[in-house]
Amino acid sequence: MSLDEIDRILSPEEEILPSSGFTASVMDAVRREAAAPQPIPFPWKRASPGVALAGLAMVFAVIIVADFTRVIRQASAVRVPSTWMSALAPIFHDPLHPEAVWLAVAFVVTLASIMVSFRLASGRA
Amino acid sequence: MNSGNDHSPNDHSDVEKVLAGDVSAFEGIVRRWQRPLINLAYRFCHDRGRAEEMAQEAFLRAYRGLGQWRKEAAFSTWLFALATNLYRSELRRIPASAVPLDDLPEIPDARACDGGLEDKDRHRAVRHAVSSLPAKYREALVLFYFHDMDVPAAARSLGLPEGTVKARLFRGREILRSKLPRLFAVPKLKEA
Repeated sequence: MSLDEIDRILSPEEEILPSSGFTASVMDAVRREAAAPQPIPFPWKRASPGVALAGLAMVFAVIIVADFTRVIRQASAVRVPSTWMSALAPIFHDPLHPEAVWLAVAFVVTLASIMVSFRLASGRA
Repeated sequence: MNSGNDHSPNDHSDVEKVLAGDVSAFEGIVRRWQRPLINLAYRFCHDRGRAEEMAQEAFLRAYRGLGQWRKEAAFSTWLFALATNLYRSELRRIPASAVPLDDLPEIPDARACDGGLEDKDRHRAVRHAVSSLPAKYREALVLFYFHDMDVPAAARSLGLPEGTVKARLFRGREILRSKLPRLFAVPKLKEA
């Protein structure tokens, strides 16, 4: 089969006519679309304090995890802990341990940012 | 198939009206372009009902995106590009039923006319073969013939460089040419 013959067959392909209700159906859909309320944009302005707090909490968390990892490494250099719990035990047993304070700060900041976000989202701020 | 620029002033004024809040002005756009958009969809899916559904979705998207039409290009160019993108992704999501090229059945009684098939059967077989091509060749061929063999128009609808469309057309037609003779082969008569 030649290319000319392929061209000849494919060019005058049958043309179909729109069904009688097509225009009305499209216009109904368009009117529904026009009548639908516009999507509510995300309230970035109101959410920005929460977002900033969440960012800060994230930075704190990274610092704490890095610090915590360093402490674990130091502890395992002295003696090999049998489990993770035994590695964590000295931190929680000593309330003045600086890592415990950092953990508490991170926890409070995270909790506060979650609460602020919830208040902003529910419109009670 | 008319995919040209004849309706440009009407399109322009209707778009302005719709953007100003007159939704009913969109009806003029639908009336002018429903036939080409449905026919373009039909060439992709070969199913009348589905073609109308896809064309309706194309009009809805056009309505939503009317503000994005940059008026330096013809409205038809923008509309066809939008519709082509939609049809392509729709067919990727739910492909039209197509028989693989190698599985196309031999058509009975290949001696019907001029040593081959009746025109109707030949046409059907060629269209089946087109719909069995890999998507990138099929799309190029569908758009090329839809736009009356106008490569630049097909390239604009596909959002591809003309060179790429030419290469795909060449390859697609070569595949068709190599596969189709088998379908039109005249069976050898047994010697008495």
